[in-house]
Amino acid sequence: MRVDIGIAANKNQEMKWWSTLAPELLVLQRRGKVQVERFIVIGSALTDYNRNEVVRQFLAGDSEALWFVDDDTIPPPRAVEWLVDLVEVGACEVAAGIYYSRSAPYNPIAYQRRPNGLYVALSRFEQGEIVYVDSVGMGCTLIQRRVFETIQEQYRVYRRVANGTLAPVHREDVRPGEPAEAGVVMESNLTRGYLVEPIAGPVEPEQWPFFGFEHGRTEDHYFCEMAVRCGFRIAVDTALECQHVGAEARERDDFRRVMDMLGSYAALKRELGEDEEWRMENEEWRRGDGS
Amino acid sequence: MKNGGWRMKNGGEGMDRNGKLRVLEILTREGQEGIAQEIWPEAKIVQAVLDLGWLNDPGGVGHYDMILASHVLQAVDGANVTRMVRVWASWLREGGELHLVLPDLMWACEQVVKGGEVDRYTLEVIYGQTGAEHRSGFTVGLVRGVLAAAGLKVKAARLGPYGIVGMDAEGKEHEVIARQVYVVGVNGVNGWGNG
Repeated sequence: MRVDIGIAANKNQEMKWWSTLAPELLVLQRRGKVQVERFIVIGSALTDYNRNEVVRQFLAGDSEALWFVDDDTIPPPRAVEWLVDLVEVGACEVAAGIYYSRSAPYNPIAYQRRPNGLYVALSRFEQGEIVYVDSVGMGCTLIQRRVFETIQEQYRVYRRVANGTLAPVHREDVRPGEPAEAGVVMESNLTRGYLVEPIAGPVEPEQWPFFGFEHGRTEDHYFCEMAVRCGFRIAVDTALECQHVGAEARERDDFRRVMDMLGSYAALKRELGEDEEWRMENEEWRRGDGS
Repeated sequence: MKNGGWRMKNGGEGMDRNGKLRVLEILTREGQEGIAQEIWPEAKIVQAVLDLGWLNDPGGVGHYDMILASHVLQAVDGANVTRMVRVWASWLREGGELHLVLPDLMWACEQVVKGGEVDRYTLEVIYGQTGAEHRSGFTVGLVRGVLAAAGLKVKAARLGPYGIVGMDAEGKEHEVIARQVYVVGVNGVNGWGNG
């Protein structure tokens, strides 16, 4: 299997990172199951730019998959082989190892999407389970080539007039109609409306915007939403525990400690009836969606 | 033990090919009711009772699209588990799938560690029942290790509901065994799955 390794670099890499990854790659080549074609490293302060440039270069080659490894994430031995297996047997098209946030509550960087569009981190799983998620971080993630190609087929890219940034829109969401005036349009009940922004295009950018830092969200959600919309599945192999390196490496045990504390907190909240507030908010969204 | 609430999400899909799926269901004893037909209603099901003699003479039972062993492998002693899975793997065609369903040792251990009353169902997950004693135990991680050692690629690994309902002292129904392990291994696939 021919794989490119993509590294969106924005830090000075820890010695621990290089000294673990480099020998692993040598062993990988020796075993021969996965053939590493290219090592694409793009470094700047903008992670979304870095990732998009990695993908641009990957698509210019002919490797079958791209393995993103972050420069602060240390995958366990043989991680890429296991991820290739998952894609190869048809379990998913995007396969990821699991790693944990470097700050409290140290949650896994893998998420399920709520009806209101917000994401909640994966919390209940037994180590070794293969779990399907709606979004995942790119710290140790293998993406099949056709995911990128299908997104490019199914999405059109427009340029926002206000600031020149790019916005991919699924072709099914592009409908002919009267030009709308920019601004906010509210429905009569004043609770739901439309934000209308002027755009130009479609355009064909040299660097396709697969990843974008927007609306205070990390760039991985941006990509995962497009992949899911195109019908692809994202699986996290919880047997592949990566270390997330900062001043200290964060792992599952850190997350478990916080979850135990939160468990006690949730029990207290239930007693106080505070969950009712969250339930009502969800209900409101469901009514808004007409479901 | 019965597989009441268990449903395999991948079960009905099977492999993408023309004609009927050929499924081998391995049972633990003669006369046991299988569940494969319910999972793959269109498939041609062959049933076989676990035979430890397979370890020495696997025979040539054919090449199946799927093999289902639900609550069987724990009847094989720990030292021979991988060998037995290798035998089953040899009965799969290329791309064929081995579906293993097993009691979750981790769940039972959590119940014990939690303290409080440990009911007989929990202990049965560990030790089995009279006449059907467990000779090995599994967690999702352990099963994956066995599949890898047998040369199979893992396609699915998750925990599912067991579906056994019991009554508590007040006559209220509750789930007595909350989890079981479900792992699917695939016999050597070359090239990307699902085209």
